[in-house]
Amino acid sequence: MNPECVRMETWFHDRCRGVQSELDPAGRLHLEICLPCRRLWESLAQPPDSAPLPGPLSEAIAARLAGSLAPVRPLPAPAVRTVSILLVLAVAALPGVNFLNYAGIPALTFGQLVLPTVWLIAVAVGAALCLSAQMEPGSRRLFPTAGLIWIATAGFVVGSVLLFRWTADDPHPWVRGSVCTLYGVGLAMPSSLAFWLLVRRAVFSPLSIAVSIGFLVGLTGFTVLLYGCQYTDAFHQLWHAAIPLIGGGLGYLVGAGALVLDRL
Amino acid sequence: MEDAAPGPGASEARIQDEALISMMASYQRGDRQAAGALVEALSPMLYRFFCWSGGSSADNEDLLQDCWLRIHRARHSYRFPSPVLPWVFAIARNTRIDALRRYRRRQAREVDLDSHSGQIAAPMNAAPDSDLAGLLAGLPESQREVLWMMKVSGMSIEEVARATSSTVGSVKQKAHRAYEKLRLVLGARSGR
Repeated sequence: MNPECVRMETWFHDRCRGVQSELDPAGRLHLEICLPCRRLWESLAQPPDSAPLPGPLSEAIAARLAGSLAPVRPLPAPAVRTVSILLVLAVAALPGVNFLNYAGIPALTFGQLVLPTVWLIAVAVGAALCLSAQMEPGSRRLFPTAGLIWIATAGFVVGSVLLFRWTADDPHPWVRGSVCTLYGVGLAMPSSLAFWLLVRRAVFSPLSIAVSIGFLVGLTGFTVLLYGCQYTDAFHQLWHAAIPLIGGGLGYLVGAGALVLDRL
Repeated sequence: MEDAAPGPGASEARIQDEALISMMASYQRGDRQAAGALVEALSPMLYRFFCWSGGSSADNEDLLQDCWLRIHRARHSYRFPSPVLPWVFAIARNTRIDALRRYRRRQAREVDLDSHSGQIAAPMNAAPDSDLAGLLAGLPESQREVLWMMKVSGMSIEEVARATSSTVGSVKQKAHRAYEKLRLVLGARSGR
């Protein structure tokens, strides 16, 4: 496409919104010579055409709302919501790590402890920002939750592969891995209730909220196992890395189930 | 080349921006007058947004009422002094999506009945007949939604991104693709 056609798009946005903005000489010239852009320019100026709103309808709606009009307490600020979500994650992970006697901390090297922790914190902040944004319709989205889940999982997988050794020190790695994953998910599951209590006043999109909560529960499980699991081979760590993804998936199922129930 | 004349959506939205924020804050405090003024100010825009979905006038009036009930229940989620329009249109969009789902479900259940009676329900995504709406009808749903939101509400790209729970980059990309397709269609029409 002609770069000048692309440059016109800023004016097309304004034209579409009905904002009066002055075209520069190059833009005017382009409209003279480019017929499709000129036609589009003219079409976008048309007013949105629709049947007029019936007069009494607004009054009827206002009267209906007035019947149940009580002062409401606005949601806390986004920063407060984000910090609360992170606090829930940290507090919810503690009993699990305690239950496993902090076995992971002495077993890990400095790099194995610090790098996954840094990545975990970055991902947890991202997940908390996502959930906080979902609580407020029309708020700014920095990145989609699904993208964050995949990037987080990829980071955990790369970390497992690069930071941990491949010599398996146990004869049943599959059994040990699946048991450990079940432990992680199970110990993190109660945190879903805490996250739910935090967002319950602001569930506008059950599916996306459920995915975000599921992901945060998964991160809680990952945290529990990072500091609580004594097995430090790469294959076993891959099982841990799968937990946030599993959490997001379970969240999706719960959210989709809620939508189906809502339709019945 | 003449400059753009402000569309009704834009003038309503831009002029009232500050006023909407203070009305919304009063509405949260339980001010009856502010609630009435807000309904009065936003309903025409919302109604036009729902009309884009097609459907009958009665369907669109139902959607508008449903939307206001949702706005009323969710009014605590508005954060002063954020812009009101993205917040309202995010709720309106959810209302529309839910109605579309309900419609599709009903349509799936009523296929046999329709085929016997020979009646076809008006699809929710049928476009009105006007030129611009007719043009936009040829676009994919997500691209049409972006342009239509800008048209009926006068919202900026940033505000449309907020209302559609997506990123600014994604909305710009959708608008770019929409313009590209519209240019092709209009170019082809002119060439006839």
